[in-house]
Parts: sequence; structure tokens; C-alpha cells
Amino acid sequence: MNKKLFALLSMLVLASMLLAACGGAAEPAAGDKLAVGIVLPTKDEPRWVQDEARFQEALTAAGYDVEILFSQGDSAKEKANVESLIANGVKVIILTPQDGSAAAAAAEAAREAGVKVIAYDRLILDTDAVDFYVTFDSISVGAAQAQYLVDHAEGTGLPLYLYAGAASDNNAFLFFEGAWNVLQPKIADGTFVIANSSEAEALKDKATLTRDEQSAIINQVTTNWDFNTAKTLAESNLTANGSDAKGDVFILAPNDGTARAIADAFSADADVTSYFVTGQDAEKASVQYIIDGKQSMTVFKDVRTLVDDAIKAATTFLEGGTPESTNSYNNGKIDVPANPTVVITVDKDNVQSALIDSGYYSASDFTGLGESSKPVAVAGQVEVFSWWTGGGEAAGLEAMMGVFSAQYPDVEFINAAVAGGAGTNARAVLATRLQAGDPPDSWQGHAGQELIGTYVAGGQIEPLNDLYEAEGWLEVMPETLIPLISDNGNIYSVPVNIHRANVLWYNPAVLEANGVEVPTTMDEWFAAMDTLQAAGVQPLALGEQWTKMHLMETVLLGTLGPDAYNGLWDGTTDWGNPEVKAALDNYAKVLTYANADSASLSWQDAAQLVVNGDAAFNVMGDWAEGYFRELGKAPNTDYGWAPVPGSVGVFQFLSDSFVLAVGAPDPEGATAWLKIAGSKEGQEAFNPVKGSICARTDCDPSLFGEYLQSAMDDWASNTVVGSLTHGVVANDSWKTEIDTALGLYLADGDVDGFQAALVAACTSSGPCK
Amino acid sequence: MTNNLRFGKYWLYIPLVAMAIFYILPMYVILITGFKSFAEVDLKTMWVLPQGIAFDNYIEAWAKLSPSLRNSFLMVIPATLISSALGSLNGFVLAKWKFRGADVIFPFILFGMFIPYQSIMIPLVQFMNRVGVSGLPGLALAHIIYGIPITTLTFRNYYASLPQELLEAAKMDGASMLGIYRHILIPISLPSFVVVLIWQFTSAWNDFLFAVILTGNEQWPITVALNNMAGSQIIAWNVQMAGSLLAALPTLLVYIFLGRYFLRGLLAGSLKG
Amino acid sequence: MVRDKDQFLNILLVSPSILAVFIFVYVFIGWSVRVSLSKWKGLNADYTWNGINNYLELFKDPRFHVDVRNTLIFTGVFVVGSMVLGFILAVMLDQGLKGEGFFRSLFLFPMAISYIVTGSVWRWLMNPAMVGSRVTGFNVLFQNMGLDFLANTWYGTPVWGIAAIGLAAIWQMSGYTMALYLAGLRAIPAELKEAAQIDGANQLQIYRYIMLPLLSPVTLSALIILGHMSLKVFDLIIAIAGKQLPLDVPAIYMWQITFDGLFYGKGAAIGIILLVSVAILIIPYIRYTLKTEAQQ
Repeated sequence: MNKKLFALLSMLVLASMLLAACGGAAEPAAGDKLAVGIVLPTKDEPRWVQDEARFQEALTAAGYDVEILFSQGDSAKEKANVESLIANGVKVIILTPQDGSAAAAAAEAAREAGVKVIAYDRLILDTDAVDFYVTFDSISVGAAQAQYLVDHAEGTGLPLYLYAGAASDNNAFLFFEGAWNVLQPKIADGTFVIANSSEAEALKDKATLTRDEQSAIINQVTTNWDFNTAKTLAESNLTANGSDAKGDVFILAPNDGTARAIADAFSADADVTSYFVTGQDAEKASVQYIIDGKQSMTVFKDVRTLVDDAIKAATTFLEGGTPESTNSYNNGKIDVPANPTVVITVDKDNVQSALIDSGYYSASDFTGLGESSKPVAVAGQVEVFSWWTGGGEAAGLEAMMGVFSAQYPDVEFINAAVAGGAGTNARAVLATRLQAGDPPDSWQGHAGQELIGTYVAGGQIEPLNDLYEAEGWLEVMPETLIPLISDNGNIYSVPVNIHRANVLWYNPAVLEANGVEVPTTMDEWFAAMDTLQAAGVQPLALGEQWTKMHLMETVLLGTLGPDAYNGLWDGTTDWGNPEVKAALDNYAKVLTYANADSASLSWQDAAQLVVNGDAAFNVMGDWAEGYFRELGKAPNTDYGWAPVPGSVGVFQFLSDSFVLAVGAPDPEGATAWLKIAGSKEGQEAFNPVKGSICARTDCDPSLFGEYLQSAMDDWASNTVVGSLTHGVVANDSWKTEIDTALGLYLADGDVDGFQAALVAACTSSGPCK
Repeated sequence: MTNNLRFGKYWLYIPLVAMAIFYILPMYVILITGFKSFAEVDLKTMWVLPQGIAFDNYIEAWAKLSPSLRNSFLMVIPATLISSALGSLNGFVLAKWKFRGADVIFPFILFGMFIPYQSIMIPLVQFMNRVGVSGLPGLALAHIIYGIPITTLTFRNYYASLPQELLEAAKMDGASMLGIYRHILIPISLPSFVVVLIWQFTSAWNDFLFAVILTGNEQWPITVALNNMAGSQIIAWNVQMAGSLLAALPTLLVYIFLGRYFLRGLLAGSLKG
Repeated sequence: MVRDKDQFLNILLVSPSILAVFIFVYVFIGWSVRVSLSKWKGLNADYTWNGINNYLELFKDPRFHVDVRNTLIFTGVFVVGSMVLGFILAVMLDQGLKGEGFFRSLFLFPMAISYIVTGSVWRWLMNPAMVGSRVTGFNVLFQNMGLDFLANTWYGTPVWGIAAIGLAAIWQMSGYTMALYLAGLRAIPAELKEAAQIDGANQLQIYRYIMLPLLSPVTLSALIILGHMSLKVFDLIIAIAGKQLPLDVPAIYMWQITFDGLFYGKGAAIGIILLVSVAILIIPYIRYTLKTEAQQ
């Protein structure tokens, strides 16, 4: 999370500096001067320690000097802290008051010194010296807690124990108000019986309470936000009550710390057979309690977002602006503007997805997590077959394996990667193993016909529709992708990444020196290459045979357009028609601009010609960009990119994906692997390293470089078509026949013969009849 | 051409040195590329010496290859020894202790040398799975069996060249078949053993095809590991070349240490038809 | 002759080898033959009878024609080249020069390295670029030595490009033929040479008329070993030039059509054709060997 935040903040700071420079009025925010001061309530609660770390890291990384002080539950110390920050020259103070009213004086001191005050997570009361309130909607927190109790209540006369925060904290009132709104009807109808508050019992028919009425109840059940107080109070409640107020009990606990203390007290009472207890803040200890079944739920307020919002508000103030607000909270004197953040209910069922998968906590922070997120513990081993053995792809795979072992520590990951190079390729090994009835649990394949036409047709892989449902992947994978990995409505693979095939790489300096613009149409391209050739520059760099097929598919696309191109693969475009002939003629013409020694060059050699200035253009998939960067070349100076001429606005893609083998030796392990391969965390670990974009649409763009960000934009907005060379549009047999036809054509140069062979290939192995 | 070998022969160094250069050139390229940095590797500058002598590539290659080195030895040594032993026995029987039909059996075995291995991959894997031999033992077994034809050929041709009287004399003294084999033939078989050992060691060590289909990733021999150092998309040639050299070292050492016997072995009659 | 009690023992000794070769060679070949007569296409086995259609299709297939042509060229260059070069090297080393051992080891050691490794280097050495800034490999050496006429497009040459691959194979295997010939020369009794010299024969004549005929068994052995290698050549070509049709050979076609294209029937047919070609080469050799032995 820190990297992301860092990137985000860097951008924010850059933007704000730019603004400041333009306006010329505000002082530059960054620098030696202390810009932001933060006062947090206590070091004794982990929550604030975590916040301290987050603020410190984010603000420091963004170039601000920051000082963070703790009040240690003492309002006087709080005021002293604020004053010392003012004296140190801060411009903005972020303050979480220990006591809302007591903090007013501190806030007013700040106001007098011209320092902006942001109330963070707790409102400062009874003063107009509060400029902004960064908070979660506390009322909805209370409501979520109460709703959880109501949802799990069965029958009538259930004992309900109410606990509240500190009466001096406005939030405690808001939590309680939210809870009361939900609980009161259920108390009134007899579902719940209040077991520990005579004040509440007396008010049980009153839907809306006044502040004084709330105050009366809270004073009776306050924990003062303190473990020991909470525990003592709970124990005395239990001592006071007879067994009729025990059995299966429901407990409204205001936050995690008190929830654990109260839970400990209740679980120690022999007459309590079961209990539901609420919480909030998703503290680590409570998450472990939830996993262990000792606490029922917690309300997760993603503090990362809150920190972000506080920093955003602070930087806006530093720039001289006003933060956007959607809401306001009355603090007894004014309506303080705010922009509250939504909250999430977390219990045993969603602890994995809400807290672990989101990256808030790491799975290794807890024990027994596997059992809580899944009915059966996953152990054993999973053998995953791929051709990712070297360079960025191997590193990416390792990163994804890291994510896997963190979440499934009991599953041994067997990385059965075989290099595809040197002809003795991975696919032959895989085919041989499948023939011999010895499949790996999961293997890599190109999404599309390579999988459908080969493994689905061979009955070798399982449909994954249930997994897609369970993991919610249909919502996060692009709509255009799903049909390409499906057959008869069944989805057969989990795509991990997306590469683009139709990229024209060029050398900006070479183009500029020859007065050539980046071409967008075939004719412009030809004209450009004529100019370059006349100037003695090698117009096009080309490599061995497969790169020529790669070039061919992009020229077909560029000449025919996406619809007719797609038609080639579903049988609606006749391979024998004059348009295809024209496209092949274009291809023949493009080949005339290529280097004579193309047959001897690998794609790397060919791509290198462009960045070294020995050739102007090269058509290659966007893995070339990873290679350029590995060579130490810089985007837009050493190399530029554009869609292959004629294919502007079209994204010709390929995708690596993983499948579940029919008869997998360890299907559970395989499923676990597929879950990681499809997860945001897995893909965010893999793709930036591999140099591709996520198949999911919700990956964080800031993890990626300049080129990949542009590819992400195009992927989201362009027409998507599939690649031939890389297995999307044609099955393996068809592709092999096209390859043979291409090879013969390259040797004899007979375009008509080539077209006839392509027609025959479509009939023999494609959809043409 | 001259009749006088003594005076004329020194000019022979000219073609010999020229040939030596031809043989060394590829090795030179492997060697210097192994010392270059990734960015330095460029087709254009393949002859140019590296900017500095750094062993980084070798260290990196070693780290990736060393686990599989052990696998290679575990597989190659038994494969070489066993198939040599079998070849020697077969050669002895087929050359000197023939049974009826032995002259049919010899070409029957010899023909096995010539099958294209790619076309028997699938039945091979199926068979190995069915009999439950997998991993390194399975790989060693494949090398043993597919090595039998050439080892048999070598030994048979050598033993056939030995005078029959050698055996007859021993038989007169009442020696048994195995006795003759052990006490008369084995002691004079060393040169042939060297030829066969070198041949088998080299081919099993350098084999990739069987290795990749018969072993899993824990048991991959060095050729598969070497191949896996290259990704499907980006190949770091400098590390690759360093690794190639490391992978070739054991066979080179075998040639250096056994090379003198190799010639003697060939000389000793393995080629006399 | 052989005593009775050993009559059984000798069969027993060779029977494991016979059994293993029977399964691993002949049963597997039988399986391949069966597949080559089927319609099997795709991952799942399909033994539907297809007669000899796979073979007929191959004989009509223009790609297979290229393969046959390439194999013939490659075999010619590789076998003849290795034998001639090996013979010349052997004769030179046979003169008792100082440093013979060094040269012998040097010429032998390419054999120790796998094709996959040497192929990548030869790919660079024989880079086909001839002019401009990108000339490299041998071509740039030739240029610097003023031997421009030697520069050529190597394996990028139409039709004859495969011969360049043969050159790399010669580099790898000529040391072996050298060793064979050298051993053969050393085995020829010195008296023969001396007798010829006394008769007034010159060096060339001695080698041509006396040594070479005596070396014919060596030549035959070398021919067989090199010949079957050349028919199965696969990884060397892939390592030098990748999969491309101008340099296609049956072994590559078989691999590609089987494992990339999943045409198992046709792939098996190519394997069988290769095998039959090898058989045509080797059976006369075996017959000759056995016949000469019988004469002795």
C-alpha cells in the first residue's frame, strides 16, 4: 500500500507545487519548514500507532516535514502539543481530540496563529475554530453494528447488553445513535431485552433520543474507550444478572478494544452459552478474535482512506484551497464541513476478501485464516506448468508465487516451468504429458482458441464458471475478454495479463531527422518508408519467421479493419475475397522495406535495431518495451510507439491464462492457485514485473510505467480483437497450417498461391466449409 | 607435395594453425560474451572484448545451474557405465560366442540407433508411467537402452577383430565362457570402454529431449536448467553463454583426461569391420 | 565351437538387451506406424483408419519437398565435408608434428558441447548481413582481412542456406572423423608405406592408392554415424535459425506438425519416412560388414 500511496502523493505534491508556482501566491509546500503537525490521542491503542506510521511515511515521502505527537489520554498534554506545533511553525494541524470539548481551546489557539485545523476521526466540539472534519460516518458505524446483531437474532426475549464509548467523545454519541436507530424497533417488539441499562430500558419505546437521553444511557454503560473499564463493567453486569439474562446473548460493543475485553468477560461466564459481540476498527487482535470465533464482527473503516483524505485536506489547505465536502457535522457551535467515508462490516465469512485480499493486512499476520475463509483447509501441493523461465516473466511468476504461499502456506507450489525457446518447447512436453495421462494441476496457455481448440476440444480442462461467480471476476474482467475464453457459455481459463500485439515501435530521432511523421494509415506508412529508404535508412526491422506472422496479422488488421479481421476467424470473411488479396498485397509491400537478413534475427535483434537507430520501425508485441527498458532505453526519446498503421483505436491482444486440469492430482491446490492468479493482489504482483497490464480492470495504474499506462487506457477504450500468432483467434492446427503457407510464400513470393493456401487452411482446420 | 617428410612437414603448421583458429573462434565468442554486461551484448560488437573481466554472469549462471549439476551426474554416470557394460557383454556374445540367429540379432539391435527420438516420445512416456519408473532413474534407463546399439556395435567390432585363436587356446585349458570374458577379454577392452564411455557420457550429458519429458523440475539435469535460463521473450545472452560454458565443463574435462585413450580406443579396432 | 552348457548362457546374457530394444525400439516403432495410418488430429488419440493417406499427402506437400531437398543438401555437405576435412586433418597430424596432442584435442572438443549451445554462437558468426553498419560475424572478419569476396549471406541464402548449417555441423563433428581416420592411419603397418616409397610413389599417391583403400572400413563407419545424424538434425537448425521454412527439415516438420499443430497422424508418418530412409542407408552397411566378416 505504501508504494501506491507514495505514488499518489508524489503526484499530488507535484500538482500542488505546480499550482503554487502558477499562482505565485501560496508558499511552496515542500521544504525544510514544518508543514503539517499531527496530534493523536494515545500510543496505547494500536490503531493510532498504525496511523502514525502511515502519516509519517506518506507525508515524508511526499516531501513534507511532519511532526506527530501523542496526548496519551490527557487533554492538557494535547493542548501543549498543539501549542508546541504552532510554535514550530506548522501550517496545518491534524488533530484527533482526546476530549472533544477540551480540545476547543487548542483549536482556537491554532486559529489565532493562522493555522488550519483538521479534526481527524473525532470532532472538536463547541468551537468555530475547526476547518474540516475527516471522518467515517459514525452513525453508519453504529447502525452496521446493530444491524449485525439484528440479522443474527432468532426468537424473542434475547438478552442484549449495551456498551458505549466515552461520554466525552462526540463519536460515542453518534455510534450509539446509529445503533439505537436500528435496535430500538427490535427492543420495542420484544426480540431483545436490555440486560444492563435501566435508562435504556426506560426509553425503549422512544425511536429518537435527545442528547440528554443518550447521555443518560451512555453514562450508565460507558467503557470510557478503555479495556479495563470495559472488562470490569461487563463482569459486574454479569455478576448482577441471573441466568435468565444469559444463555445466548447479544452485545453491542462500541469498538474492538472494548469488544475483546467484554468478550473475554462473557466467555468466562459459565451461564453464557453463546454470544454475538460487535466491534469496530478491524484491529489485528480483533481480526484474530474473529478468525478464532471469539468476536463476531468488526466494522472496518479503511484507515488508509482516512489517512489519504486527511492528507488531501491538508495539502488543499496548504495550497490555499478548500477541501470538497459532501456533508457537515454540528459540533454544538457550527456545522463543520466533512466528506465522510463508507464503512464495511467484516465477519468470519469475508475477513479474507475484505482485509487480506485488499492488502490491508497480510495473511501471515494471523493464524487459522485458511479455515475461516474457506470451509476446508487447503493443503497438499500444486504443480503449475508454464513457459515462464527467464527474465521479467519468471520474476513475475515468482512474485505471484509469493502471494500464493502467503495465503496458502500449507500448499507446496511446484513450479514446472519449461522454456519455450530452442524449438523443444514447453507445449510439446505438456502435450506428451497429457497424452500419457499425467497432467499438471494447472498450466499456462494463451487465452482464446489455443485453449479452446486444443484443450477444451480434447476434454482436458474444467470449466471455471463457479470460480468466476465466487470470486466476482465477471465484474472486474473486461466484457470483451470473457467470450474469447469461453466455449458454449463455459469459461475455461483465468487470464493473468494482457499484451498488445499491434504496436509499431519507432525511433523518434530517426523519424525526425528524415522529416517523417508517425504514420496512422497504410499509405502514410508506405510513404514514410519510401522517404526513409531514399535517405538510406533501413525503414523496417524484421526478424525470424514467427515475427513475420506477427507482422502479417497486424497488416491484415490494418488493411481490413477490425470487423472484417474478426470475420476471418469466425468464417464470415471469405479468405479468398479481393479485400484479403489487397491486404496480402500490402503485406508483400511491407516486406519489401524489411532488412534482407531478417531470417537470422530474433525479435530482440530486430527490436534492438530500432532503439539503436539502425532502423526506423519495428512491429512487435509490447513485451518489446520491457526489453527496451532492460537495455536502459527511455520511452519517447529512444523509442516511441503507436498502433500499427490502419489499426488506430483497435487493441489486438493476447493473454496468458491458467487452466484447471481434468483429473488434476490436487484440484483444491489448483483452485487455490487460480484464485491467486485472478486476484488483484496476484495480478498486481505479476504484471508490473512482467511488463504487461492486468487482465483485471481494477489494477492500480500507478504501479505501471508510462507505456503500460497508455496501454491500460487503450485496453479500456479501444475495440478489442485477438492475435493470430499468439493463440487467440485460431486453433493450433489452423495456425500451423497458416505458418506453413506463410513459410512457402516467403520462399516463393507468390501472393495468389499464398491466398489459395490460406483458403485451404481455413477449410481444413478453421470454420470455413 | 614432397617426398621428403622431414623437410616438408613444417609448412603444415600453416594450415593446422588456420584450422585451429577456425575451431577456436566460436569458443572465443562464447567466452567473451560470458564476460559482458547485458547492455554490452550486441550482434555488432560480438568480436569486441568485454569492457572488464567480471564473473557476475558466471556466478549468476552457477547459481541457477548448480542444483541440476548433481542430477546430471546422478543420471549420466550409471547410464554410461551400465550401457557400456551391457554393450560389452552383447559384443562379446555376438562376436565370439554366437548362437544360432546371432547374425540376425546384431542388426536387430543396431537398427535401434537410428530411430528419430521425437517420434517415440509419447509411447516412451506412457511406458515409463505404466511400469512406474520416473524421474532420474527413468531418464537413466532411457539412456541405457538407447545407448545399447552403439555400445554393442563398438564392442562387437572390436571383439570381432581379435583372433579366434585367443579364445580357442583358453577353451582348450577348460575356461568357461564367462571365465574367458572376464579374464581374457575385459583386460584388453579398456580402449573400447574409453570410446564408449566418452560417447555415452557426451550424449547423455548433452541430451535435452528425453530429460525434459521424463523428469520433473526437482530432477532436471543441467541441459534443461540451461535451457530454462532463457525466457520465452528475453534472453540474456551473456548469462546464457557463461552457463553454456559451465554446462560443457564436465564433458570437456572428460575429453581432456580420456582424450589420449579415445584415439587408442578407436585405433584398437572399434572400426575394423 | 561353442560348448552346449554355454549355448543357453550366451542367449541369457543378451536377452535383457534384446527385450529392451524390442520394446523401446520396435514396439514404439510399431505404435508410430499405427498412428501414421490413422486420422489422429488433436489432443486425444484417434486410431480411425486412414490408410496411407498421410503419406500420400506428404508426398504432395510442397513443404515436405523443401524438407527433402534440404536434407539432401545438408547430408551432402555435412557428411562429405566432415569426412574430407577429418581425413585431411588426420593426414596432417599423422606427420608426427610437435604439438599433435594439442591440435588433436582442439579439433575434438567441439564434439563435447551440445548443439543447443554451439548453435547460438553459429547464429551470430554466420549473420547474413553483408553490407552497411550491421555486418558482423564472419562477414566482418572477412571484410577486415580484405577477403570481401568470401562474405556471403550464409544461412540466409535461398535454397543453399541449409549448407551453412552443414558448416556448423562440420565444425562439431569433423574432429570425430579426424580421430577415426587418425586411428585408422596408425593401424596401417609402416612397412606398407615404406614399400610404396621404395617403389617410387609420392606422398599423394601413397595416401590415394594405399592408405585410402585400407581405410574404407573407417570411411564406412563414419558414413553411417554422420549419415544418421544428418537425417535427424533438429536442435542445431533450431538454435541457429529458429523455425523457418527455407531451413526446414523433416525432423523439424515432424515436431511442429505433431506438437504445435496436433496432426499426430501426419507427424508419425514423417517419423516413419525418416526411419525408412535410415534403413535404406544402414542395411547395406550391415550386410557388408557381416559379409566381409564371413569371408575372413
